[in-house]
Amino acid sequence: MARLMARRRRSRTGATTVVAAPAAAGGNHAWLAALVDSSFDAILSKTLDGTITSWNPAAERMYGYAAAEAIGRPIEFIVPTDRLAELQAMDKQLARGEHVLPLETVRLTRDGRRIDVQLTMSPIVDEQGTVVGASGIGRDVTERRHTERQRQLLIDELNHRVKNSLATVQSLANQTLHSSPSPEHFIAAFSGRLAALARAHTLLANAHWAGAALHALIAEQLKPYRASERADVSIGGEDVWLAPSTALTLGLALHELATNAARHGALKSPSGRIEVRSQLQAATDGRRRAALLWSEHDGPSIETPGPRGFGVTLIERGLAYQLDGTAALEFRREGLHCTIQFPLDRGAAPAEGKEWSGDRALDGVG
Amino acid sequence: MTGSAELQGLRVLVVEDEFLIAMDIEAMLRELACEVVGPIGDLASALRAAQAETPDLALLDVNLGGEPVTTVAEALVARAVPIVFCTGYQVENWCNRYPAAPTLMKPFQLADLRAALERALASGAAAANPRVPSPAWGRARRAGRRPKG
Repeated sequence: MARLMARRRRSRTGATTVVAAPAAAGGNHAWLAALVDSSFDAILSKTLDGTITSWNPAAERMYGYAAAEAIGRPIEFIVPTDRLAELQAMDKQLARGEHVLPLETVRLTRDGRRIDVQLTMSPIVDEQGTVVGASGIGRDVTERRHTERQRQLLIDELNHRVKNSLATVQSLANQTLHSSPSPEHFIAAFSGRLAALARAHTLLANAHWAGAALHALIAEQLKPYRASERADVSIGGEDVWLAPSTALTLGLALHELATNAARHGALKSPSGRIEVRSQLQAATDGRRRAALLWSEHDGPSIETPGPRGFGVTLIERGLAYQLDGTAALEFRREGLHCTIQFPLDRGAAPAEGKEWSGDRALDGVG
Repeated sequence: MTGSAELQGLRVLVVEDEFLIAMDIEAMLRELACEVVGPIGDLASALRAAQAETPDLALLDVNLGGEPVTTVAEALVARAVPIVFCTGYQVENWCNRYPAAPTLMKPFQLADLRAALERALASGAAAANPRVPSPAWGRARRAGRRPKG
């Protein structure tokens, strides 16, 4: 044991590790063998010419070959061709008596999978100090590498969304400023739009950015007004699943309708009510369409009827641009009517391959 | 002082899928006295415009509804239209692929936009394919056709 310890110490400072069994220490040998057998890391040894001489149970599990199959074979059967040069460089290093410090590489399993392996190799020396082979400890880090790549993708995507959101907010500020008669008007209108954007974001975040349900979006955008005014609002019809960008734009448009109703329309008077109905429409050109009808009833008689300025732009141009749809505002005696139509198959499919359609199950959303 | 004599009256193709951002870009370009072609929010229309329109410059969002704007960029490069990319991604490879095209990181301001457009115009003129009309040629032709305010 003392000899072993002495050699271990030497290995820290020097260039070699000793695995050669100390003849007099049979107990230690068994102990070491048990250690190797029970390790979760693949531990193997090979001769200088690359023939495998030992192969522990973890190596069997990791690479899929039994010890009896692996021992005696050249190591190349688990090394992909694009990593052979790396192997040769490692062998040269080991032959000089140097260690190979933890290195991330790729190995092949019996069923042909490429796995990410973190590998540490050490030279094996005999009693005379001559390098006779090498030992290797391999750890399967495929799962960890995959997780790291996923995390990086998520960070990049988040960064993109944040930058886009900031650009959107900058635009909201600029456009609101251009249509604001006073700083007070600006701050009220801008904060309202910011809050509408935040509410749409919350809905999308709840569904992991796969999209949002139309009815939940309407309810969310009307929430501030329903709570304070005991307003009579009904939402009905067939619910529709919206892609994220559609939900954001439609959320802003619904906010413009709601804030207008609170200031001039049905939400201003106690008798007023709003009916919002959605429906799926038969496809004319192979694209399914959704229609959304916003109608106000029994509100105050309208002198300055609908949303103005940027609000109208958001509804009419914004929906046309972002949703490839149409929005028509109509000022009737009983109140404002707004008809929005948009196809359901425009834009990229939402994340995680979810299809967005009207008849999709809406569980877990909202 | 927001204007730029160099940019005044130029036709700028705007390809951006976010409506609000497109509106903001449009407003900025108006402030620079540029004429806006578009804005266009989908790849197919953008490609048609890149082939049919004769812009002096193009401002392209690198990602249109999840699709890279590459085909549009290629069509514009083939016609020697200088490009400015804009993106929310931290992507350097766009810069490498089109070395003459500056990349604007969102959100950007008027001064950033002006500088990027001027830079694209300068490198576009230097690297112009001799077989296709250079931006300077297009500008001169339009200047003759339509008086500038």
